[in-house]
Amino acid sequence: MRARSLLTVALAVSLAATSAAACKSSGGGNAGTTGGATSAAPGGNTNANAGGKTVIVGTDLPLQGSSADTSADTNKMINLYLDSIGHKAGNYTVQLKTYDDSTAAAGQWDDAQCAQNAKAHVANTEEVAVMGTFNSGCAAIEIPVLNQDPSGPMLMVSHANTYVGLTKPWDTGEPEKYYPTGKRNYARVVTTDNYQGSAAANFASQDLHAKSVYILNDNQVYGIGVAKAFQQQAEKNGIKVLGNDAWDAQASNYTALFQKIKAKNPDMVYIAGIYDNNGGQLIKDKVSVLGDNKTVPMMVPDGFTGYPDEDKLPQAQGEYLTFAGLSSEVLAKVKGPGATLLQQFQQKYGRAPSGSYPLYGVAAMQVILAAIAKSDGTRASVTDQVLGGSGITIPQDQSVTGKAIVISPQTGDTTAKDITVEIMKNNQEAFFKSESVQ
Amino acid sequence: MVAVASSPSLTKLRRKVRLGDTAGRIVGWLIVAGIVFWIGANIVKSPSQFFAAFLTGINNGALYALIALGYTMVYGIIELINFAHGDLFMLGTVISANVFVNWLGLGSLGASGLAGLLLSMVIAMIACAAINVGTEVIAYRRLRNAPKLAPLITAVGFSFIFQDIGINANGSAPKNWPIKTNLGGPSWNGFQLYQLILVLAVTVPLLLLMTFIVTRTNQGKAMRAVASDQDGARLMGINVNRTISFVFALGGALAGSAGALWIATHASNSYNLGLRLGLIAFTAAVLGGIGNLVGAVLGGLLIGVIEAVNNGAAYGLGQAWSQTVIFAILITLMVFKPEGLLGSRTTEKV
Amino acid sequence: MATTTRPSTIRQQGMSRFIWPISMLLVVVLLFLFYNNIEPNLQTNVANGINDWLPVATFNESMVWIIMALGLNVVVGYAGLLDLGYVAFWAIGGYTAGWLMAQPWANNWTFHLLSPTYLSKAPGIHVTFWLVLIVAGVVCAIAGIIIGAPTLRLRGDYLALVTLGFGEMIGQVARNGSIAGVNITNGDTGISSIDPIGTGFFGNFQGVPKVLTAFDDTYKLIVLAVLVAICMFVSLRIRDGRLGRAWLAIREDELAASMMGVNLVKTKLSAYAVGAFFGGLGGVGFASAVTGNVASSRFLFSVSITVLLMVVLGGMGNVWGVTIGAVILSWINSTGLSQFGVQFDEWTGLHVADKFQQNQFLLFGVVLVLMMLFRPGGLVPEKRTQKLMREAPRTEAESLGADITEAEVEDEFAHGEAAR
Repeated sequence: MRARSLLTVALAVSLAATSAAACKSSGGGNAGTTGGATSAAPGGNTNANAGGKTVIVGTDLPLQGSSADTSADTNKMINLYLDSIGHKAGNYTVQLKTYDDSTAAAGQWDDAQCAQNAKAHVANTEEVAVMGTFNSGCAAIEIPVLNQDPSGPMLMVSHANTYVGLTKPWDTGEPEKYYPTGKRNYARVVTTDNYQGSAAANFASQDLHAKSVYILNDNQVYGIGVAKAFQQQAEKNGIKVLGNDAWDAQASNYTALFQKIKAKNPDMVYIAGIYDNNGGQLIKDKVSVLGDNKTVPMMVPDGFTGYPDEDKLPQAQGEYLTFAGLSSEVLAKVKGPGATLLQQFQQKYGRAPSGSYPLYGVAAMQVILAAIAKSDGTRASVTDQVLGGSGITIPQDQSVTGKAIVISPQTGDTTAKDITVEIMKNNQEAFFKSESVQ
Repeated sequence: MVAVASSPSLTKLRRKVRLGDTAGRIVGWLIVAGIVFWIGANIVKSPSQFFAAFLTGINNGALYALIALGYTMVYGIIELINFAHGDLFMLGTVISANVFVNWLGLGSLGASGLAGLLLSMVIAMIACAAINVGTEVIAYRRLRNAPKLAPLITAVGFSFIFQDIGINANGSAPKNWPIKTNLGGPSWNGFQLYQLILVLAVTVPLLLLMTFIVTRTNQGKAMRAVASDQDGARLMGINVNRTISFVFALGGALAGSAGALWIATHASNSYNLGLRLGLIAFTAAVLGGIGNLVGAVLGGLLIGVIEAVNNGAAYGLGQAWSQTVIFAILITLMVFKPEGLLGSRTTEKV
Repeated sequence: MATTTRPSTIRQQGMSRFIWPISMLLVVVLLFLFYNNIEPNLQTNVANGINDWLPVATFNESMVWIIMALGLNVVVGYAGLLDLGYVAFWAIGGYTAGWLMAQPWANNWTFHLLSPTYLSKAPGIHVTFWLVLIVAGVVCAIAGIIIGAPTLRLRGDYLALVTLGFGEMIGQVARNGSIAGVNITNGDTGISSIDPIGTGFFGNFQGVPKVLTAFDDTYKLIVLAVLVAICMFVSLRIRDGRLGRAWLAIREDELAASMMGVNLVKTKLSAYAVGAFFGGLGGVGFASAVTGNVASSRFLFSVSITVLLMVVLGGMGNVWGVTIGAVILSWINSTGLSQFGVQFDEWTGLHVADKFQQNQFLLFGVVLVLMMLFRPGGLVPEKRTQKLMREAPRTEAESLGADITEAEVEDEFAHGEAAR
């Protein structure tokens, strides 16, 4: 009996859920309201004076687990930006809809969730483009689905995917296997792993005069990619690579790991990965075993930039960071749209955004908005603006990254290949020099 | 306390499963010989590297032991795999770090720092004990007669709840606290002598205290009675509920002390810290013979050393494989000595 | 003629036995018709609403979770062997699909076996989905026996730890990608572009696609539902058979079962093998029909725990309960909780959706605790479990005699015979 009554309850609940869906659609009137945070944002001038059609742009980010803070700040930053431009892109009014590609059970991005989100983007008829994803692995799942969208390939612009194979030949079958229709639909505003890795290797040999190096990676797509690129270029430059090991993000500490490295006595260490993967503990243990960053220099890629938590670490002082474009900290001191946005964020939330990716999220959004402005409002046309014709260019005075963003219409990669090297000094990331890579 | 083992009548049947006692013993000794050879090769290759790693392992292992101790106590009395224990430890790090940095305003482990550490440790112990007892009163107490998996799933539920508290208090990314963990004193390849002394100065007395409570006090006698037979204990006039709550309090306090010690040695924590350390603690507790206090400490130290030697010594598979190495050794041990290192074979009631 | 005396009860039993399968079939057919024929023709608003709350992809995902939960149910629910590393079989099944249905490594040679026609020129190894299912099932079953073998002498929580260890080890192999320089799983990059399912003969029907690509979710639903049905059928049949009763016997009392002549080795290993076989089916279904790739980031301890939650929440040992538990939990996890946040924002005008998402851990945890407190037997408890819970536990007096050894029993028996 109890089982039966419970079943009734379960049925009732599912019915209620369905009717809630129906209520919502009849009450809300348009699906764009799901991005509630946006449409009621204090900008005010959202729907009222919209002359043109309203289009939706989705953001697809991991809002739970260890990347939650960065992702939430990315959404907040994009909302701030949309408010500041009045939600306008040419004749179109742009609404934001947030998607979450993580689940509570996984505590991080979830492949099934990515697959489901990709279908949801396509199914939402008013959505014209996607800003995301954060993880390259998730992008590898979503790109082919968006690519096969019957109403023309759907554009996705990522602010954080650095895996080379998504746009250029890398592993077997890449990048073709991500684009089953043969048309491209994916662009990104960050440089790929290989540029950053080789720029760092050049810096290591020319400026640090390192003769030997030990590489650590975080065993994720990004970390492995950067480490591999660094290793290749370093070997070309005559640096002896003593090892390329993975560190375990969940290990309790790295003292033993660095003791092993110390026995090989490298001139410097290169740490390829994301700071969120227990990078703080890694830096502390590096200094406690190998000595400070003057004795044994340490270089990190952009996965370590823009973390206030890291900036305050005494052990991080003196480390070299590479970054494509300018990091938030450096940008904040230069006048421009990026600095303004960072200021607004500081005013509204009383703190700096987490990491440099939120600002890059806005950069990706700028590309999407420029494409929408030039398009006829359909998905195929929006994609064509970015990956066809002359592509999209955001001039330097408008770009939030402090550099012109030029998207190559052939690959969807940003053509800006110059890498900034920064040094951690006085608890801040300070500009050190520019590196250019071919 | 309680240890699961085989009954005499079953050994006969099980003998068919095994290759035979002699063969089993030979394989067991071969494994031991392999481990000895591994360690020996590391010592010969680079003694300084090995001993640095070894001492680091002892340092980490003592921390694992402290968490495992709380795990094994709760298991010992109600046979609950307390999945939330690791997350309780994580809450301990959050509480002690906040007390130490935000409340006491301290930033290093000098003389006042050590007093501050002691205070934050006590506060974390009390808080974690209270939380643990709270979960027992709210949930586990009502589930005592439920199927065995019900309390386990409840523990998973509490683990999620604790993680949520952690994510709200600490943020989703790992947090580094402005605490100088270097105590000065002699250091060698990153191994700090004073840090090891600090860790042992907390772990050893707590182990002795727990052993004393369990073996020498009336409360301990009550605990052992409840562990072996709740109804029997009740008939003997033992307050079963109070005794179990007391064990949860002890387990929570141990988790809190481990949390404070973690902050003192690492100065960093994250909301999902409890997942891995809970796994390690569970493994350590089983390795040593679950329910056995000294066994838990031994298991913790062993895991710490295996991990550090694998990560840091000349011949090791590197950190990417440390979990695999630990579990491979554990599984082989389980096959040849299923009751754990110090677990005793007891007759199972039928 | 004893059997003919109570025909009515037998008929009733027979009827009640069919209620669940029929309703299950009905649900799947209705879902298919709804998503395939009705939903595309609905108003945009309504369609979007449904798409937000109950997208068909969610059902596909839950089908895989059902298969997983049914497999774990065999091990935990039937045989009472607590397995905390069940994700290992998901991984092995998934990678088998990756190896046999894609181009995982830089190989130039091509191998095709009954794969969908349009792939005939694609490089790599391409074997038809249905064959891969069997291969993965068998590979997983063998792996299950290998994992099960060391645990034969272990009980309860020691067993849990060893299975957990295997789960973690296989997860780590998946993450590291290569053993001794031989690339096995491609590490965190994973193996992507796994072949879609070919419909073969059914593709000749009008409206049925030849291959089930990303947007043919409604047909994938049917395919996955068939897999679910196979797992359910096997679960139910074995349960009522000799093996199933042996499992239940060792679950209730291993010692007594062995005394009654149940072969512990064979019984336990077969539970692992059957459970693992299901896991393999689910792994292939997931890789091929749900995500189209296999990535190491999925193979975490938390997935093992989630499957266990589904089994316990639904009702251990009860196939239908486990199915319901899997559907509900997977929906909450993938769609439900985050949609509630968005909906809440819309109703109240507040901006707390991100808070909702950040606090999903809390909701998940509270649901679990409350569920266990008020319904520890699960949503649809198994009848035997219910009975067991009403019975008073054995008293000390009853367990007297536990110290008598087998030899003594035999002795006594012999003496008795002699006396007679």
